Amino acid sequence: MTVIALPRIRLGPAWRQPLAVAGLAIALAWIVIAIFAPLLAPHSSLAQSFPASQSPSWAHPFGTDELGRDVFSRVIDGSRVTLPIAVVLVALAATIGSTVGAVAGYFRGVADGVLMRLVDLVFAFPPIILAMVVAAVLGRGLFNAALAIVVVAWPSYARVARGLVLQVGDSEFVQSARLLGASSRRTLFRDVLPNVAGPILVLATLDLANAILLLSGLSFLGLGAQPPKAEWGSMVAEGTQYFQWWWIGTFPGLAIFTVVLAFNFLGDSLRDVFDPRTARRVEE
Amino acid sequence: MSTLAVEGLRVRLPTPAGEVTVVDGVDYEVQPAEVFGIAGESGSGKTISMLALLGLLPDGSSVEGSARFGGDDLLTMPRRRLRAVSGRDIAMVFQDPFTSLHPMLSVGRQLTEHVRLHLGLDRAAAEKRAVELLADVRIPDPQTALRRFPHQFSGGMRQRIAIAIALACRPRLLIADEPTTALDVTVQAGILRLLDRLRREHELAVVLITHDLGVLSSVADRVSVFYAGRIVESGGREDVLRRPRHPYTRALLDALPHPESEREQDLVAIEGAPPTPGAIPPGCAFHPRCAHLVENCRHVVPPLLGAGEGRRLACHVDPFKP
Amino acid sequence: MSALELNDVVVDYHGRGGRVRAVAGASLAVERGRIVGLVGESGCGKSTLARAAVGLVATSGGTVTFEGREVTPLRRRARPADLVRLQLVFQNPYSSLNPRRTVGSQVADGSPGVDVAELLELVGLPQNAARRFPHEFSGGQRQRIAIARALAARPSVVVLDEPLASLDASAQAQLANLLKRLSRDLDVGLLLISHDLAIVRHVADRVSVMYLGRMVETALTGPLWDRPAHPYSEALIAAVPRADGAGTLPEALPGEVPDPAQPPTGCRFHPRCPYAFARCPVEEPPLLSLAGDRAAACWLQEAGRPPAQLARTGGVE
Repeated sequence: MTVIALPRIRLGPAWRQPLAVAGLAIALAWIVIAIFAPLLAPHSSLAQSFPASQSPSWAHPFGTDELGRDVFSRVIDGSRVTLPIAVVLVALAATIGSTVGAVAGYFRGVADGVLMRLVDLVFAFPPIILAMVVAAVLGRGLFNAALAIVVVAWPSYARVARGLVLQVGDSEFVQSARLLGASSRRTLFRDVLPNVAGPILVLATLDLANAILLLSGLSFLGLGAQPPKAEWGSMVAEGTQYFQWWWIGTFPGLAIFTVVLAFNFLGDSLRDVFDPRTARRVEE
Repeated sequence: MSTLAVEGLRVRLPTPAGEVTVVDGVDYEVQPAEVFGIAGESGSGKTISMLALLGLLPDGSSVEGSARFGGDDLLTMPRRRLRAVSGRDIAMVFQDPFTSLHPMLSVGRQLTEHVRLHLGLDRAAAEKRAVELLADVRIPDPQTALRRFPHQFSGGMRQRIAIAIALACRPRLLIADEPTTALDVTVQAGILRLLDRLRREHELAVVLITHDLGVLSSVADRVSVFYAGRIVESGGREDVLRRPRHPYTRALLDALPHPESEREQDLVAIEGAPPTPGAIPPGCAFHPRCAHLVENCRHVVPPLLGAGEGRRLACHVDPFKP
Repeated sequence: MSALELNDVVVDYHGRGGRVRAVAGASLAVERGRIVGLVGESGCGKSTLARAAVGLVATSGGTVTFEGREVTPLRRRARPADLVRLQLVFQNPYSSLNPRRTVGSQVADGSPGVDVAELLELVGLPQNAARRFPHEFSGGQRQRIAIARALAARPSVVVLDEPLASLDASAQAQLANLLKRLSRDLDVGLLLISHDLAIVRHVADRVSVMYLGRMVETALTGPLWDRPAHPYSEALIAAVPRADGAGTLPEALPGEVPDPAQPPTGCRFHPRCPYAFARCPVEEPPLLSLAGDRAAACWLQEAGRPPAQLARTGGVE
């Protein structure tokens, strides 16, 4: 049986991993923008203080929207909404899911059966539909939308964590530790979980992109952030009503696009780092 | 004329830590109906040197030298032609037949597709040829075997099937890379006997790569010993294995359990471990482990020179000169 | 009394196709300070028996006792302290060490506070090895780490499952010598499982030969090699290729190890045996005690007599 990856983390020169570097650079740039948004945004994101629907210009690089707000400032401000919520909800989903999965994989038997059927149940629905239903039941609003995404996002972590705990739990190094007198709980924390954390981290990074898309999707459908809040998804939704003023929807759309792309690049590179096939040595 | 003549083969592989020389100037020739044995421990470059001939190295690798096969140079041949040649005239058998056989296709399908593609036979003729091939490698009841799948056979039988597929297009050269390493000795013996018969009957030149000197001793006609990407000694089987001249060859032989030796004696282990590509010692790569070294060994790479009776040796000292 | 005793052990696996009897009644004893070799082809049940010996696999019959105490299968609770002195080293040194923990911390698993540096030195590793991670070592060195970890528990018996199989010749010889020295110096009994009779001959004091879940022969190493009493032992010896440059082809054993779910009638080896006669497919031979502290399960042998010479005609492909 092949056990999990040997984590030979050797990143090598940056130019060998252009996608990782690009992903990291874009993600870091967005984090900096989110932190310093009040300093970076030239105008208020809510003030309707300019002529409406102006095309991009030096004064308003992304133009103004139909209510006379500066789109550039709104896109910058929007990063403070989308990014922290996405990070928090992915962290929450990963924690809940991994705990459930680890419990199922560790105790096996009945606990495993019950928990995994629950996971199957959630998986039976398309995520966006289920998120919509949950968000609609909970009521409109950004907080409820985030909660709805946690509900659809945790099961994939549960499944991955369970599989890994089962696999690593049967590995020879865990058996060796057990033969040396370690209890099964002790090996769980010392040998099993540290080997599960890496792949979960990869999944979470890739999932950040999903969460941002879902969140924007819900906002686009009117179930997430409510006007006048500057949230990228709802800004795109507004933009679609005014196709002749393309800049209103395009720039927040580009913001979503770059963030999603960045986290996908990052996740893929992390996966390579943890993957035994790409991390192997030069051997005969 | 030799079937394969390799000259000055040098291979560099890309690694995260930069380019690493894995094969560093290797020459040899293989004659028809001859088993040419390449011995070496893991990391000695023996497998990479073969993959280089068939253009099977990862992207970014660089290969120098020449490899004459028939009238062509395998190393400069266009990729398309190399693929055609290496599918038809050169065959390869690997350590694990499970990875070289397609798990979802029946044995018959894998055999017949191969011969139809390369020899242009029709369905009936291809099937007849497939049955012949399976009978040739001593698969019991070849007709039924055609309809079965690789997982329904044992490791030894799978290796026989892999050999049948390799022989399907009547190749002139067979490269067998550790073909018996994954098998039990009882099964290994059968495969070695099979290889020995096939090369006589089919006039097949065989390059046999293995870490097991016992395997080489039973079927190889000539032997080359690899160490850290170079040949350190080569010559006739009896010469090299009975009267080894390179300290490494001798140490390797001494490390083996000998059936006729006193069993109470400890095995004579070689100190240290073989170097890894990228961290090869200067001078003679074996010098840190060698009991016979002189100052020269630390600085100057000993060239592989003729040592009489068709032998070649790369050693400054030649401590076992007769 | 021997430190580790296996008596008529039976191990069943429950697969999709029903019950498979991997070990069908096998007995074995390991004394402190002695090395017992257990050989056989893959699929003969030797690895299963190794796991049953330390309690990693539950037995369905027979008894396993260690220092007079029954070896119980491993459950969720920690292993009883007196069983910890019975250890196992796995075949694959790449999967038997946790890639994320330092060598030192893993070696200390057996008994916290143990002198890790001393153990590492004992198996021939540099002292700074303790702070490094498993991937920084070669296969042979990793196997030494695994052995050091087993020794940390101050074992009286260590079961080694093919510890030499994945190693190059030079590393193999180093490790074989190390095992002999450790067994003698530390008074540890070793059960060495291997498919390679040639190396077992150099290391082991006694050898048991296993075929399809049963012991077919057991004897002191020298006499077994010089005059095997069971045709299967003879075939294993004849199949070992000799690195003498003579160009002699080793003898192959025809056929394959049968499916343990459907073992042959009578003697389990009879379909592949060059000496099989009428009685063999009908009646299963018991493990007969022969003269000279050895035993064989073959109808060609007579209880209490020295082993009869087997006369083999070879040459199968």
